[in-house]
Amino acid sequence: MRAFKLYFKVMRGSLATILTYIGIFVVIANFVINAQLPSKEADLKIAEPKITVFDADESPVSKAFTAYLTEHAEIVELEDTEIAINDALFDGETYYVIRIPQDFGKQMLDPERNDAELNAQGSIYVHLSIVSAQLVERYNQTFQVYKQAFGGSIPAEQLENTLDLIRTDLQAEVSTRAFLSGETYKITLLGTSFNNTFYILIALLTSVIGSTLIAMENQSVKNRDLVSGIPERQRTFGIFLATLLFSVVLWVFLIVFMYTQLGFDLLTDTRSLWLIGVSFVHMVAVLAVANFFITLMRNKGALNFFSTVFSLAVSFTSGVFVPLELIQAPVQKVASFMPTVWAVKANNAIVHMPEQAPDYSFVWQAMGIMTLMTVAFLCLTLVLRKSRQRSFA
Amino acid sequence: MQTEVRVRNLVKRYKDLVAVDHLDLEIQKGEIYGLLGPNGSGKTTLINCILSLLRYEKGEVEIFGEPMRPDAHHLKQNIGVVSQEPAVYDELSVYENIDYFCGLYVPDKAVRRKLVEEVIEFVQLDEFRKFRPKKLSGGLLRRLNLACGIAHKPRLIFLDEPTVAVDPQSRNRILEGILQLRDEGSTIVYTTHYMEEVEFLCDRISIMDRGKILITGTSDEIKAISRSGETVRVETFDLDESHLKAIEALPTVESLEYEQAELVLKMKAKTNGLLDILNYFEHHNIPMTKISSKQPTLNDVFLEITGKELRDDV
Amino acid sequence: MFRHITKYKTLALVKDHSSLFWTLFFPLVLVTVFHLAMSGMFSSDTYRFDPVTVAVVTGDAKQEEIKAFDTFLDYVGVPGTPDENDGPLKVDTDPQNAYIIYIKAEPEEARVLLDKNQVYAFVEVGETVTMTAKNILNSSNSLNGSVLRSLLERYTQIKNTMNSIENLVTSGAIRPGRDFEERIRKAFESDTGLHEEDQGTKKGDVLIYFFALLGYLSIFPMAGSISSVAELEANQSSRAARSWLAPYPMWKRFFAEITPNVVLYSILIVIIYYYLGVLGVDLGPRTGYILVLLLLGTLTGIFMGTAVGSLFKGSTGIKTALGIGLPLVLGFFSGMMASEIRKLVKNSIPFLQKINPVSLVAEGLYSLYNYSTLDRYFDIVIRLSIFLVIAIVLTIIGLRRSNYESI
Ligand SMILES: Nc1ncnc2c1ncn2[C@@H]1O[C@H](COP(=O)(O)OP(=O)(O)OP(=O)(O)O)[C@@H](O)[C@H]1O
Ligand SMILES: [Mg+2]
Repeated sequence: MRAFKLYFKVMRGSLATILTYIGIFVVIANFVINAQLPSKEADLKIAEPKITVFDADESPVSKAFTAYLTEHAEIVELEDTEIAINDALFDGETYYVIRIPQDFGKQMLDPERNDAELNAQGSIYVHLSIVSAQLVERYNQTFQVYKQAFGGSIPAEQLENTLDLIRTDLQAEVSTRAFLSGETYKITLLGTSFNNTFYILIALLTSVIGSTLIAMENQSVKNRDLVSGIPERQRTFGIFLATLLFSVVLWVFLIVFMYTQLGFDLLTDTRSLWLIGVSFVHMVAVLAVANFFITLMRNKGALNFFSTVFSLAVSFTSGVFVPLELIQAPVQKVASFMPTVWAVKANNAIVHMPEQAPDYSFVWQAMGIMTLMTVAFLCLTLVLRKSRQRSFA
Repeated sequence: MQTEVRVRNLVKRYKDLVAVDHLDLEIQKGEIYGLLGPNGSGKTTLINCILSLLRYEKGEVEIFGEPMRPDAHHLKQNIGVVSQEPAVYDELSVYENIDYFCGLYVPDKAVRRKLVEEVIEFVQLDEFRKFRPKKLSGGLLRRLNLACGIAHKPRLIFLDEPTVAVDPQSRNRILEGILQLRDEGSTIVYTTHYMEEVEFLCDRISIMDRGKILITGTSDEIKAISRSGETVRVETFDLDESHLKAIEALPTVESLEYEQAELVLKMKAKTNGLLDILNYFEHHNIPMTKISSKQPTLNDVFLEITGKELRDDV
Repeated sequence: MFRHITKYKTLALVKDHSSLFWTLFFPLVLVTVFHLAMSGMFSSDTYRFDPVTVAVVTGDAKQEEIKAFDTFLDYVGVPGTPDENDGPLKVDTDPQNAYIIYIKAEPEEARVLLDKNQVYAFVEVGETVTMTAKNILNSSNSLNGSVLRSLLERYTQIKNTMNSIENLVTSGAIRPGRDFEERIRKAFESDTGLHEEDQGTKKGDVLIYFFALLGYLSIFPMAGSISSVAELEANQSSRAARSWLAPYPMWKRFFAEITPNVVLYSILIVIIYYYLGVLGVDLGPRTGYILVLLLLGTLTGIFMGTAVGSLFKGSTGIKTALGIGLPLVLGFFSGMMASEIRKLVKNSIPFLQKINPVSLVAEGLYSLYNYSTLDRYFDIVIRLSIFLVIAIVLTIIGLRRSNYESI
């Protein structure tokens, strides 16, 4: 019990670190979650194309074309400079920039042609470029259909009417529906948030537990304890319990905070409970891993660097930040020696779990692997400590 | 005689705690000035205020006849400080540490080399010059700390408990060194808990408690000011009540205790009580096996005015 | 004096082997891991378009409707078969230019397929066309939705046009001539004269991770310089108190103290830049400009540290946490962990983007990579310099305090 209490007294020194990290987490999580929460829950999230048009023609045809685009996409006004356009594309302010050249209208109406020259610049979002290109293509096709229907050229007196017809023809609505519960979106958001807590937990547990452990293992403090008659084993156990308690409290805090953001009603969803389960098993595993590396390192000066780089490295290779599909197979292999990648995989499985016939066997498997890792790292730590003791003797 | 440090009406508060309380002080050139006080009496705080390291609420501090301010660099140039806590770089060796701190005052390399060698000799760290502080024992570290503060031969030196944890030989060496520093013309402010050091070393002593100087003077003067005189111990059997009453009534006796055949008498100050007692015993023909007399020490004086032991372990 | 202090500070820095090692080693490890994790993004084109899988439910739609929709399906997609392992729909042949892979299904089957994620959505054909997909947070989910919706719209649009033309024919506005239907069919397939420019922007979007990482690594010396200030402020270490007593003004000691840091971290950031080159990350040919920006960032990071270290009177714990946490947060907001965040920040807190030094460095690197002109680069250099000057001024204000309330 002495060591247990002492642990928390020593930890008070890290209080500032803990609070700073938690503060950072709260601010960021709040920002990210709220930025992504849908306004209406049942809406199916569909990316809307944003298009910028520069019309150098200003003919009736080009104007009708622009009006059509306005109906089918969000039009973004931009200054016509290289920097402004590139910035907007890069920042996702617009996804597609169309340049209508001067004789666009003439070319469209030209009986000899079935197209008109247009220039466009797309962003990295290929999907949205496709959608935008389709918008252009359809207008042209429909226009050409009418031209052919009129026998190769649209009579001048019919032009206005035809342009109107084209516009109304193209005003086709497709109704979209979200599949099953509207909560699914929130559950995926919850899954992402859980993934992000993995990072925070790794960073916080390594740095706080690290500094506390190193202080406790400081030879003069330790000697004082041992001299006062606490058996080493009891001391180790006390430290272990205290570490666990601290981690659990921290973990509970992070979880509760996420639910305050997304709504506690999510707790009634089974997937939500699975996420919590995975997160807990992962937290315990991270504890074991952190313990091992700290015992290995035992260097207070390097600890801050270590926890920063270790948490980032594990998170990046485990798919916490970037989707796992993008991470190369060899890197994933190496990462799979850490618990985090399994937790991320399990979370992905839970989030995409069929609602009709859910099958949680993979999640169980992942939790099993993490538990085995916990045991393995604990054993490694013990072996390490034993071998060090011997070398002192 | 020139006044090196003059403090007038100095007040320093830490929130509610008054650490230095309307304090006045003068330190003369060429003296070793002892500051005695129990833990937490404000010695370190006083020194830091004098050095302008700490802001204070009220009062004036003059050093070398000029007001001391944080940016009074020409004054700082001539001051050396040895802090209570060792303040050295763990990454640098003994020699490098001394050279570094000395170099803050003495830019000239050749001069500095000589000074560093001298101070290493002075604190007897010659065989440890390549050691990192981590590898020094507690006492050696204190000696290094001392060396870093005085290497540049300052005119005014503040020593805040420099001899804690130093073994007796080294301590004597250091004390002699301090006398030597004084003889070379430095003025020294010295805080300590060791009574012997003060008695041996200091030309003048101030006793501090709760941020106030209670008394200042040479060690003899302080002892003389004290209300208590010598303590006389007499080993004797059969003393009855009437004798005790009679002895207590003697004009030179302040108080007495009689227990297990030992009579302990506190005599009044500035009296020669021993003679009175001897006379009394002879006159009444009371046999005694042993009699001894002890003059009051600074410790007694200290105890008397502060109500505290100077050091917890005395 | 300056040389004296600098010499010994450098000595102390170099002699502290383990710290020096970790200071140099950890950033390189971070860069390596980062590269390993991200290199997948370079090789496989992340934002490549894969056909959208759909289950088509015709149910009790009219026969001609079904026929029309089949023709349409044929035109935009290829048929697929269910995967035995419950994976997404398979196709035997390469779907080449197909937009969708489809499977005909009964309503119940379609639901199960969607539930098991074997198809992205199911589509019900009838008077109106309805698409149903899972509502999940996932950018490819909403992007697929966008493409599919656009395709389905096309089906209705064609229907509309056919109707309109029929009306025109009936009203006599159009007199169908020879091979009328053939010409219309052809017109429906006409290509556009659309020329899409291939932009460097696309690669820049993957590189933004590295730009942000470099931004982070240049601000990261903040933690180190916070502890350097502790060496100056008498209330933060006993050594500092001793140095404070030396007859030198604070600013002289400050520059002597900070110089070894500046040198060390400058070398470090240059090493990191060349190391990235060794790893095969090409940041463009403007090495000189890049290095100037990185060094400016490093200076900013160092002086941010000194500003925090000297202004905040709080505990060392908080300062250390800030020194480590702040660059991470700024890196996060610049898209180091997820490039989407950068856009979110830019849209919701544009002010932050403009003053965040990590993102200034990142954007500067981006502009060097992507723009032919240097206007933006210089704009950023100026902004970063202003930031640096502010940090220096704050440091001076912080250090100006000449003595201490308590030590
Ligand atoms: N930074 C501080 N903040 C608040 N109170 C302080 C601070 N430093 C010292 N004190 C208090 O001021 C009083 C005087 O402290 P000071 O260190 O001057 O005593 P001292 O005489 O040097 O004691 P010692 O013999 O133990 O060195 C003490 O009560 C102490 O608790
Ligand atoms: Mg003291």
